[in-house]
Amino acid sequence: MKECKKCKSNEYTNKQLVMMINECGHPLCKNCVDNIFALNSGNCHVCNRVLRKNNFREQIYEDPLIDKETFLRRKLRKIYNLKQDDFENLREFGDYQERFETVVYNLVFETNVNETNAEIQAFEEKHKEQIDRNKRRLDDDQKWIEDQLREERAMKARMTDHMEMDAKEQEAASAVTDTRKIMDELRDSNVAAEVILDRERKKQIEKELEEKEEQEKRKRRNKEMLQTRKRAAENMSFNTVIRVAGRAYVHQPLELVINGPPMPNVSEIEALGYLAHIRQPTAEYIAGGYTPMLGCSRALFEARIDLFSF
Amino acid sequence: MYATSTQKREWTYTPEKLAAMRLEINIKFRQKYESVMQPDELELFVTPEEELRMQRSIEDAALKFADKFRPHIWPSVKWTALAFFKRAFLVWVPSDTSIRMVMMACFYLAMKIDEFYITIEDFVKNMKSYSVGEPRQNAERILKLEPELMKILDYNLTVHCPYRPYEGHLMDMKTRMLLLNFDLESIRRDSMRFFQNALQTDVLLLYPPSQIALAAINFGLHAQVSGKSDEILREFLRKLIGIEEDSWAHRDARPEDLEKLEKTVTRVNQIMREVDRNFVAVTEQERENHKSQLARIQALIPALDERRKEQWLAGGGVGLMPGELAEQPVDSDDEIN
Repeated sequence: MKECKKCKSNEYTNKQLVMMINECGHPLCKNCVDNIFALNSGNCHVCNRVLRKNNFREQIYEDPLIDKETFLRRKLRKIYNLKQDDFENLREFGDYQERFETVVYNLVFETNVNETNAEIQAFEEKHKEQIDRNKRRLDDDQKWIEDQLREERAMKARMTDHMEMDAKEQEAASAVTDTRKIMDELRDSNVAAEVILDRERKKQIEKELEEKEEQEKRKRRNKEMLQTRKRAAENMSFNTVIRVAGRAYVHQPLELVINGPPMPNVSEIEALGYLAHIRQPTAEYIAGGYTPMLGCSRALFEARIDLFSF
Repeated sequence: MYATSTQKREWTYTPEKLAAMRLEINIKFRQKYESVMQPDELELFVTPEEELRMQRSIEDAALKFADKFRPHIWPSVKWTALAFFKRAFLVWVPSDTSIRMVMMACFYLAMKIDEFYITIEDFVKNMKSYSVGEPRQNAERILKLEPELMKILDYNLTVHCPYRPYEGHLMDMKTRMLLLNFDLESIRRDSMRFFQNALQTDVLLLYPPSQIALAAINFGLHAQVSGKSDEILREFLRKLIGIEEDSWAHRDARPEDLEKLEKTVTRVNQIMREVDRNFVAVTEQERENHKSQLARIQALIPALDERRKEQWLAGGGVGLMPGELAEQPVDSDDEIN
């Protein structure tokens, strides 16, 4: 559950809760950010680091650590953007990647921050040319992703094209037969042409109206659905509301009317030695949950029930 | 639990009510056909008492069938089946039902209810000694009767048998009556005989199973130590209810306990007397008579139905045609709409 550590508001008390996070990785809700950093800069409420308001970003991942890491990675990727062909052999490329991971780790867990920052700066200066050049270049993975995306888009476009074409064809077909039929009728029948045309026009208008109505109905239904869902969400309550109504429940233990001699209880059955007179169950029965007490009390109970019913 | 069961609510009667119900269905059947019968056919009508004897002879045969049944069935299946049978014949009359098949359907249903699983094929294989007929045909008739039977029983299918209460009583006795000079297990055989006899009487429509079980105990005691059985029963009940040895002091404290004891003893003796008096073994001669009598009236019934139809047509066809069902026959696979 998302909760602001500062003002203790959470998702349930505030539906519009937006958590913000800054470079130190300690989340705050938007309201707190607005309050504390009204003057654009202030101290983190946890680690006292000086933070600027416009460095706050919306927290995407629940775990602030992960959020911080993805943010840092995205930032560092702009500098550490060397590709495999920038290196002489695979080993060097591997070393470079490993170093990158170390840098990320250091920054996330804030170990040797100063040295790491210095290292990044040194790296940036040293490889300035390559970095600039690589800004526009894509590596194989990115290329592959782009390809996939492109293909998907093309596929979608093709599908819609097909569907549109089909629909058009169908429409055309029906329209053609209709017009042909009308023309036939105009030629063959001896009803006045205007009457036939009028009738056909009327038909068409009716059809259009029907379609319109249908569409409106669908729209209305969708809207209603949305509204009910919204209303339900508003009415949903997570507070414990105590409703006071009616009389308080008073438990009365149930009374078992035997109408016979009193039934011995479990300890009496054991003490009086009833169990000596019942067949000892086999291991299978006991494993199944049966105890001699069960059979015994059942027989005794049935022997007593309604014995005094005259 | 019996106290809240449909058995107690719907299927337990007083002897008078039972007799009245039997008379009523008998008269209803008689009225249905009386107007279309020839004078010489009227002798085919039987009295409620004779109908009851017919039921008894079927019950007798069924108990023999049950004892020969393989695999051995447990006694509660027998009890459940006969309870179904007795209940069903408070609605049907033996003359216009295939009473033997109804009994078999009762057994088949009781086996399902009592979780004594057996397939219909295995079931009809056991019927050789009981009735003639093609096994496949028998199976069909039983399966067809089953849903109808359940409907008549109003789907009240749980039957509380006295066998478990009997074990309970026996366990109580073994635990509490430590001064008996004989083995209590020895009464079991006689008690089972009592249950077998009781199955051919109406006790299961009249009394709660716990009382029938206690009667069986008393019957067994009586057979074992004839003179002292009543004394043992009283002693047992005193311990069960918790009446002190010094009963005078107790009488002042809780008079209702002693009353319960007396009433229970009276009830137990009443059940024993009931079984003793009403259990009359069916003789071979009697069975043959019933068989032929039933066969004659059942052979006549299609003709009688025909005559009623004619009469109905002659009378102008007012109302429902006789023999036409007011509602559709039940099928177990039918969904309720």
